[in-house]
Amino acid sequence: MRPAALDCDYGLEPKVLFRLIRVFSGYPVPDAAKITFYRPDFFGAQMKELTHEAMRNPSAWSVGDRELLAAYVAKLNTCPFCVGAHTATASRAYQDRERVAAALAELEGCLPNPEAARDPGPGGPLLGTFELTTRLGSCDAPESRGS
Amino acid sequence: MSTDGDIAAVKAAGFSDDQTFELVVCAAVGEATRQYQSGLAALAAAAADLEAG
Repeated sequence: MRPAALDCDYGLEPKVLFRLIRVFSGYPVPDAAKITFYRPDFFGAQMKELTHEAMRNPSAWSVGDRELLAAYVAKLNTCPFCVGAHTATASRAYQDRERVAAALAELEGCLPNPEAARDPGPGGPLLGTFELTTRLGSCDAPESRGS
Repeated sequence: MSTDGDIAAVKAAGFSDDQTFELVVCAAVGEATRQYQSGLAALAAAAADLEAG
């Protein structure tokens, strides 16, 4: 259920943009993207800035690593749209759709594994740790350390 | 996660669409912050384990 305002209360500029996206892509703007244009001073503007900094600015992790992390966290958050978007972007960044799919499948139920951190490929950067921390809510829980 | 039931309860309590939007954003940011801090702490613990091992 979404507040009705999120479907219609946008300024002229976003409305034109939504229309153009629909015409050129053949698809409506996804709700998750649309919401960043609703009262951007309250949420969208800051969220876009934060997302860009985290996902595209210089980092020890590649764009592919970060998109794969995002896909995995989205999976844990049961957000199908975000899983699809981040999986597609990770696949493009790595230029390896099969390997990304395999990494995500392999991480189902895995435990933190220090060896995994040394693997530079998809699935390497401590994704198991992220899974447990998001599931358990606290890294102080003994399970999150694999002990 | 905010459910349809949560939104229905907020609307039944008389909150406007804008107020509902603000509540959901605050809940999402709070949960994201919790996950972020848990992830950072877990990474620090894993890095310490690697150094020790």
